[in-house]
Amino acid sequence: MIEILYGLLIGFVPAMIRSATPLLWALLGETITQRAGIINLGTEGQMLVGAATAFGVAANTNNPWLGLASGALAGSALSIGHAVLCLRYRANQFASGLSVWMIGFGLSAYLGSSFVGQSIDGFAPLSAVLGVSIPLLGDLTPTIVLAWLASALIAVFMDRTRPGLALRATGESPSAARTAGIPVTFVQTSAILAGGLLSGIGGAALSIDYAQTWAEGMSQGRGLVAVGLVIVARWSPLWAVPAALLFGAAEVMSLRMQAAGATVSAHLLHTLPYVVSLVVFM
Amino acid sequence: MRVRLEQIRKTFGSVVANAGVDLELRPGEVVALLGENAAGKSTLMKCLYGYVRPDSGAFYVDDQRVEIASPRVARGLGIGMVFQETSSIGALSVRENLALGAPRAPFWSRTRSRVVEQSLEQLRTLAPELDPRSAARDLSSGERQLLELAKVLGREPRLLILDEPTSLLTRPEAERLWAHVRTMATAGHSVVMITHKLEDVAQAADRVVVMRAGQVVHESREVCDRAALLQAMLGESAAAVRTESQPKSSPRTAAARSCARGVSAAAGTARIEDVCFELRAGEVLGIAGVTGNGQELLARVLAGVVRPRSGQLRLDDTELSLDDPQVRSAIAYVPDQPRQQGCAQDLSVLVNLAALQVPQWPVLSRRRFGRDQAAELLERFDVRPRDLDRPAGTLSGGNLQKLVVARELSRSPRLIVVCFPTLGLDVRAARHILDELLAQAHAGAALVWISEELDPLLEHADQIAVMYRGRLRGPIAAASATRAQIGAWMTGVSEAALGASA
Amino acid sequence: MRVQLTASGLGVRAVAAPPKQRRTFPRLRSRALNTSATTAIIFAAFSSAFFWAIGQSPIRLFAALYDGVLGSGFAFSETLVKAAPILLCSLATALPARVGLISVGGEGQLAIGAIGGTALVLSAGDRLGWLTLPAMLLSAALAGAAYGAVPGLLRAQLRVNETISTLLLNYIAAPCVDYLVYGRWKDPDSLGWPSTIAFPDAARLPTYFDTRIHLGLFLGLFAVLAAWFFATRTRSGLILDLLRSSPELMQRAGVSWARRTVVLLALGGACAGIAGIAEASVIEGRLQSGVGAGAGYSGFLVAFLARGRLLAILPCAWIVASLAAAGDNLQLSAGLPSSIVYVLQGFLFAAALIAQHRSAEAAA
Repeated sequence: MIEILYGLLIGFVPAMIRSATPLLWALLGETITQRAGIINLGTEGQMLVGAATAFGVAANTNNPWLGLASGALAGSALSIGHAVLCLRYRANQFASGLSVWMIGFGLSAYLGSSFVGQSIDGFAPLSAVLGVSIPLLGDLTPTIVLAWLASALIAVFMDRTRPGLALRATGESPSAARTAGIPVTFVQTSAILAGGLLSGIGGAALSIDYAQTWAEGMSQGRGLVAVGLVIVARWSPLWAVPAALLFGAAEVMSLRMQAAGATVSAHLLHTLPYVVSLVVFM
Repeated sequence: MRVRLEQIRKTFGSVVANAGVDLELRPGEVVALLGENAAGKSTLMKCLYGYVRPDSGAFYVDDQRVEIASPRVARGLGIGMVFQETSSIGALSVRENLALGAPRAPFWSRTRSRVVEQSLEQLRTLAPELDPRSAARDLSSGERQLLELAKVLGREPRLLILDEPTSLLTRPEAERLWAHVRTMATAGHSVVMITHKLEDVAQAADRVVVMRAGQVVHESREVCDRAALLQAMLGESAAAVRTESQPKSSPRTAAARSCARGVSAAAGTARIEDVCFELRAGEVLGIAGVTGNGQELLARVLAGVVRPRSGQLRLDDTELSLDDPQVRSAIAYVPDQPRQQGCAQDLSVLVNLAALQVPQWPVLSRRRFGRDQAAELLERFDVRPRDLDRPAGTLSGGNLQKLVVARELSRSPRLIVVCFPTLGLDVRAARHILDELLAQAHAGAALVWISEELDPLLEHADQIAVMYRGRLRGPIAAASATRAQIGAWMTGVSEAALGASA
Repeated sequence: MRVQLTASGLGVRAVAAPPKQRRTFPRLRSRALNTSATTAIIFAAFSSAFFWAIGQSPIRLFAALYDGVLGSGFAFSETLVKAAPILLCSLATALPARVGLISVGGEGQLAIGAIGGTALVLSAGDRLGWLTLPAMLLSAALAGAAYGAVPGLLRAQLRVNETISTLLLNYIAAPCVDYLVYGRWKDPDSLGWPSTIAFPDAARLPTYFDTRIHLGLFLGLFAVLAAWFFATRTRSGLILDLLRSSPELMQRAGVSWARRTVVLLALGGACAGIAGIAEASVIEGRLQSGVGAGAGYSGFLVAFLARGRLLAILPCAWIVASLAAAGDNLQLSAGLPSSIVYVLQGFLFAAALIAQHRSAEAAA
């Protein structure tokens, strides 16, 4: 029993952080989008194309940074579909997002079909780069550090800059924003594309860094969870961090319990983040 | 800056909002533009601000002819306008709201800009207790209006137009506003105050221009002469077309058919407080007042759409409650916005006519149920086109109004609540609806008639009341009501003040 | 139907246009055809561009699509087999849409229904004889209905947006299936891919015509026709239309929107539940992880394609099922991963959204 508990605790925090990072990226992206007044259910698809593209590029060029960048671009490119459907064709946002998700899912499956099951090295952790062994935080990789940095930068952007003010005004009241001279459509399009970019990075972080492989549908609903969790995190990029960590914790716990033989409750634990989202939503 | 408006004409469809208006605005002067609903004052100023293009007429700034194509052009000329509707964003702070409209500031600073600082300065004068970091939604409606004002003032306009500036302000706020307006005049700016309140005129204006029915009917520097102003505003009763209105012959029962005691309610920004009245069967209560003083909310409460916060409503000895369909089926309600509130736009005219009775239809009824009765209603109320199957949303405004009235009156109601029933109707249609309403009253229904026009009320109502800032002034018997008194109620003047200035 | 969420404290204001365009003009019959044709053209354009971009000939692939659907009797029947759960799940979206609700909960309700039906089968064993089948269907329907009622109650009482809540509930339902299938219901003999024991014969839905076409398809057909009849020919259907179009008017007539919200979502859930148990019972023969495999979202797509017209669900479900069936064929003939069919579904969805906007614009 003690061994089980010990096994559970050791390395828990880093594992939780690592597990939370792809979701955190998607959360940040969707926060920006929702702050402009748009809901993008296609985040899941964007993560997946980001993951597949990033993995392919990283595997072929042996450069995880290039992979990250291409994942970001892929996610952004897919999000253009959502922008066009919602803003130009005035489609219902849920319908548009779901169609982008479907396209992204299928596209990622196609793009990743040739590297199913392969694995790559990914990013070198912090301790390896610095040459020093750091307790607890030594396993941090660039995607994690960058995510936290991004969270802080986005918070500053939204609260303290004029474009950030324009973004918030657009989301609160597009008509009032328009009256104030803000180009609402441009702001919303930018927000959607930024969301695509960040969720693409999240997918890239998933395939290159966290799992270091590619599998069809590997984001397993993280993108969809992100849409709900943004609301739970009160649309704040800072609160997105603990929200993502909560999800990461639940996932790590369930994986560890599975490994320790307590397979059964692991699945129920898997529902935890969604239940929490639902409850807080009430 | 001298501004001159010359022969401004503007019509909206068949309604003449401005019928060739001349107006001169001089620097250092506060002009009050006084008038009732639909007198044309707002439209005139919207033309000046470029919000609306006049059909004909010219503007002159410092004796130079100018074309004002848009608000941006107007702002460039130094004209600023504060509208009644606030466009502030609730979740943002006061400071951020001010920054939204301000011209480009450096990228990293969200609010450091001269215009914003000036706006804040003005706001401090107008509302000293206001914390600029508080969220706009936490402000009272009066404070929000002052925020709008500060936004415009920050750009230092040379001509400032205020549309109903004190409508939402408390007394101390209004006093500060008047003082501020006078300060601006002293500093050499021009100010135009669109208002229907005599006190605004008396306290802040140098000159008053009275408009009625699209024309200037009175202009003077005697801003305190209330009696004269009221007379100009309301005019002699336009030669009322003596119609075949039913003589009030039926004896009324002593018992009240409909009564309200201490009814208060709130919905959105509208409020009503402590409304009381008592109506007998067959009586007509006319409620006058400038739109936006709570009449629409009162109608919704009486119709059972909005739950009152306190007070009692009774219909024939039964207490009216939101949950009693039987009682509510005896109430007819014609809303102020029939297209949005009173009809199912994508369903057919037939279904709309029967809408309130559908729950009582037989289970397996086809949608063509009750065609004969419906067709008859169309005939009786002259709804065109006489097509039961077309979607109700395709009807014109006037016909839609008639449709809604037809539906409501077809159920032999005991209480009828109508809100601006003849708005948008031509004379004949308006007359027709009026006749139908009065016929129902004659047959025993109690009628609460909220109207934007005083004359029909004076002619047909048994009791008259006025809604002002959510409170009901009156009701008094129509026979003993005078125009002066009603005008005073509508413009917020107390009896004593009226008598004192005569 | 506007999504009235507003940011920072109250929600995110989404600029949503009404998803179902209601039309009652007789002459709009031609407009419907017009929209369908536009959808088909845009879909063909997207798909061709995509196929060309991945280095495949569009023509060869459209041929493979055709082959997969109409190429043989077997292909045709398999399409119908795929259509059955999609048909049922589309009602999970189409029924609540009658009062303007947007639900994507078909996927979760399907899973919970499958759980409900399986629970009965596993606990009853052989004891019920011929009653097993109806009892199984009933418990699946009830389970699905309960799971559908949850977002209904959340919306009616707590004003929680039903699209978000049904989405989250989908993600709660799937692991529940896993929990049971990996846990107490696990068949000890199923090592590689955990599942329950195979359903006894009494619990298998009957199949017809020597194919895999099963009772579920006919239940689905019946449900759609019943819904159509109810919505267009009864008083209650008319009340629903009125509720969607003018809630204030119906409030004055004493009609309870809250009650109808819950009932419609529950009924939709019941249909999805039956889809779930049908899949488990006939197609998979047992309950296993990933039951239903996307039928819920396909159902949502179908409901959108049909634009709220219940009878149109039938051809639309067949079209979407054809895509899925053709996806299998593409895998065989072109070596593409079967998930490529999701791209096509997404294109179809996007094409429909664009075509619907254009037709709405033309009407204005």
